[in-house]
Amino acid sequence: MESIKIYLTLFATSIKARMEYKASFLFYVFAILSFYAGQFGLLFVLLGRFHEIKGWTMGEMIFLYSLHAFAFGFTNLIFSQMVNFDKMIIDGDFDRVLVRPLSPLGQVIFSKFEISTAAHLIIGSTALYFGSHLANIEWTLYKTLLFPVIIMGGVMIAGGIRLIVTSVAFWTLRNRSLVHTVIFSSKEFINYPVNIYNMGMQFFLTFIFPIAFINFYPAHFFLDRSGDGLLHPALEMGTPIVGIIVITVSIFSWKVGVNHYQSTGS
Amino acid sequence: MNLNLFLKFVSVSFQKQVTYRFDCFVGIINGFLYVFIFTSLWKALYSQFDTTVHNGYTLTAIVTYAVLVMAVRISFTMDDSIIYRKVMDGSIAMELVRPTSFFFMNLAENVGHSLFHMMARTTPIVIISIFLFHIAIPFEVSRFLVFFVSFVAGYLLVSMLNFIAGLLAFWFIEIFPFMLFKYALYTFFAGGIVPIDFFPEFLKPIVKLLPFQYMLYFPTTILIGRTSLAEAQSIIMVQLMWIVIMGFICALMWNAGKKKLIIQGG
Repeated sequence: MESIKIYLTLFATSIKARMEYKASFLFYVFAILSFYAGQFGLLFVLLGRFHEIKGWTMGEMIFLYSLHAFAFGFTNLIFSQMVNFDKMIIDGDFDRVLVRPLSPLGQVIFSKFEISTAAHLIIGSTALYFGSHLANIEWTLYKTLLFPVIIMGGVMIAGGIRLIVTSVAFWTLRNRSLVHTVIFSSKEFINYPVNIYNMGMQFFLTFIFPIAFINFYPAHFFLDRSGDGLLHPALEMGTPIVGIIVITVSIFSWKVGVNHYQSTGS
Repeated sequence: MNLNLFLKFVSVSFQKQVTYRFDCFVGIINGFLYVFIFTSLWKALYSQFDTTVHNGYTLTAIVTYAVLVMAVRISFTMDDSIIYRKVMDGSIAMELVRPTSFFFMNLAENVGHSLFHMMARTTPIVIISIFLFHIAIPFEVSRFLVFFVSFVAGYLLVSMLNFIAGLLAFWFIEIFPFMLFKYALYTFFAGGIVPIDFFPEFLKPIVKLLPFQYMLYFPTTILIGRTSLAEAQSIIMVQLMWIVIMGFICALMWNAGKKKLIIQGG
């Protein structure tokens, strides 16, 4: 109970620290929105010319984006400290975390909340609205209830992957480029329906680096698309299970990393 | 600034990059990942139609464009946060007392950085792509020479764009949002992913007024043979015009920035 109180204080402090610079906060939101505008711009150019991408129409593509934006937005909010975690190790800040009587992972997560990712949630909601509309999604009670569960599963997958690559820093110290590739560049894969890739890559994105579960598979369920073209139709409901597996593996890898940790002495 | 000194700075900056071998390896994978995603996307889009030519591109031509525009882009890799860091830690003051031009120092630093990426990343990515994808480049010596001129001009433009964006650090405490905005503009309007030929008509006049297409799109289309050598000459003239305009902006901002400069301790 006591630790929950501490976490809440840490949370409030981190938000307050960020809101000190209100102009910069709004500025970030604007920049992220412009970044998305560029991505949507390209999508519109391509769909304007080719009408659909492997059977995915404009509305369906936008819905695919919305699942992705929501999952990424929440992941970025919660796991933002993971992006520059290697710096914490190199500078020796992680030593301070270890001597406190509170879970190291909890402290690292609660030390920074990137609230400018509200921009991702704005995009996610807008895309959800237009995507549902254009693709004529029928929001049954079942779908509505499952939507947050799927998003949560997506956050567990994306967050778990972040935690795993972050843990690598316990061995390599500097791993910025790896973290950036895994977190940001790989995002690019699921900007498009995964069935545009060859079988080998589809297999990779499903079973080894399972980001296809963030948007591609669950989108089949929400859009009432037939799962015939998938590796297996049952995969469209796999997101929560995969999420639990990934987050469990990631916590395990983090713990192994913490045990292995030797201070840099700086 | 004399040439010897310039080359000295280039070589120092090049050697600095050599120390990050692991980052470089990850960078190759990262670059290849983008090539893979966009070639897959084009193949998927083209497979939906019986017509084999879209907006003047055959499938081979568009795959070639996708690979080479990425190759050009990776060759243009530079650290766009150098000026920001110098302003933040106060070392920019040192630049003011040096007898060498800051602009050319910065250019030399960029060139060294980019040369390394060209050798260590562009080369393997292009070689792998030649084996994996069907690529067609017209083999004419005169075309390669014209491409080289246009490539260098494009490089100068990108370097100036980064210089201008970096100088904003004189006026703003945080410039990451500008960088994100710059990235979005660059990716979209320079034809970094989709060639300008696919853009809808209403966007084309806007694209014409901006310098971005002269950074990636035109050098690449000259290389793949979409632009005739006669056209290429007038394109290079326009590139030179943009170099003059942007050079003027760089000088203007640098002089204004010097007056505005407030060193934050350090």
